[in-house]
Amino acid sequence: MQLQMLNQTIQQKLGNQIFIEEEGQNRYPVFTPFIMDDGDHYTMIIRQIGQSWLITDEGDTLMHLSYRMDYNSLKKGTRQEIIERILSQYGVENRDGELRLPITHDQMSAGIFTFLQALTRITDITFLAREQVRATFMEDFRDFLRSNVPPERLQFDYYHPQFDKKRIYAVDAVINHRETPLYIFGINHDDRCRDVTIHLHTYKSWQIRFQSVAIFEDQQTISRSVLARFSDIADKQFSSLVSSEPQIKNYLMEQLR
Amino acid sequence: MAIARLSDSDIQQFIEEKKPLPIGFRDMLIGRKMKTDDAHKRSELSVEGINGNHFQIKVRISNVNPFNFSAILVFTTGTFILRRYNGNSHYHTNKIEGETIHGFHIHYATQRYQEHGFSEDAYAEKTTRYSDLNGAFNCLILDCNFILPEGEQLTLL
Repeated sequence: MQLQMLNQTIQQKLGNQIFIEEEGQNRYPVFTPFIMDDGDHYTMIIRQIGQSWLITDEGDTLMHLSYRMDYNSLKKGTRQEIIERILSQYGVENRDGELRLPITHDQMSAGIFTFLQALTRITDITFLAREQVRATFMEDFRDFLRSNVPPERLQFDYYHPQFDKKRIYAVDAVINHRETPLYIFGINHDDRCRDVTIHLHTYKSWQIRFQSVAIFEDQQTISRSVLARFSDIADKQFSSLVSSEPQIKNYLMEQLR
Repeated sequence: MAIARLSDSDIQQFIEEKKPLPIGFRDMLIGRKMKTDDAHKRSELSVEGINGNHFQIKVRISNVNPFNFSAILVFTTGTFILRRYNGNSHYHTNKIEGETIHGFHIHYATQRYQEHGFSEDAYAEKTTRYSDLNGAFNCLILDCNFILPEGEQLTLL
């Protein structure tokens, strides 16, 4: 008896939290109580296509992600792989940035929940697992340099041809055709910072001419002692690729002269 | 309780800091220089405030629904959204206050929402001050102390 009552209450209350409105022609926005981290509700529109139906976000989900991250970073590398995997799991297609789920009339309620699950998982891409975040930072680092340095002046994964024939001490990126080559390193965790410290000391021991600059994902995440040893040897540092972007661009422009 | 990245007084300080705009800013942000990214158009402009702080204006508008837009002011250290002027394409819920709104609305960065673990701009208020992207953009320029280039003024269209 109590179970029956509970069921009735929950079904009624849950049912009342989801409703459809009509806005324009053949356009039915779905209200659900599910919200993103910033309080905005997910966009879900239902349209009739012949005898079938379509649930669409009208491009809102990926546009929303672009408020805080570079939209192009969602279309390649690790982020793209994750998005495609999520969409595939739920049968959702990405048509030029618009997420769509074709359904039949009978699949309406299941389709709404399926579509919602896909959207919530995609928006959680801002909270990627640590290893995934590491991979995306180095991709972002390279993309940033490609966007701001002419290709003929930029070389990735450089090894000194004379002193590093065994290719042990990689430089992430070099700006060449300068009196003094500029060695650029992307640093996103303590181990990486320690490695680059060792590399810089090794370059110094070779007595080669170079200038070094480090771009951190977030310098505040590097432990103090590791950062202190690094600071003793590096010529220039930027604390964050994202928040120091204007300053890094200006610096690169000056170095390219 | 989570730790707020910026306090209410920090937020207010950054809003009040005067921010000079370059000539042609309107074209860059909501004019013909907007770029198309699949289902929406976008633009960004970096601006340095007179106190040396770095900001960015971001604009987004859907190609599918012109009432789905956002004019955003970002404090670029840590990509912190200070203010966001949204269209009326979706509902918004203020989780702490427990209220849901529908219509054009403005997101405000607050300390309390950060401390509750939400996005810094998770609090919003309904507005009747604008009804399209141009109007939202004008409100952002006015409210956030941008300085127009000499000879320019905010337009109605």
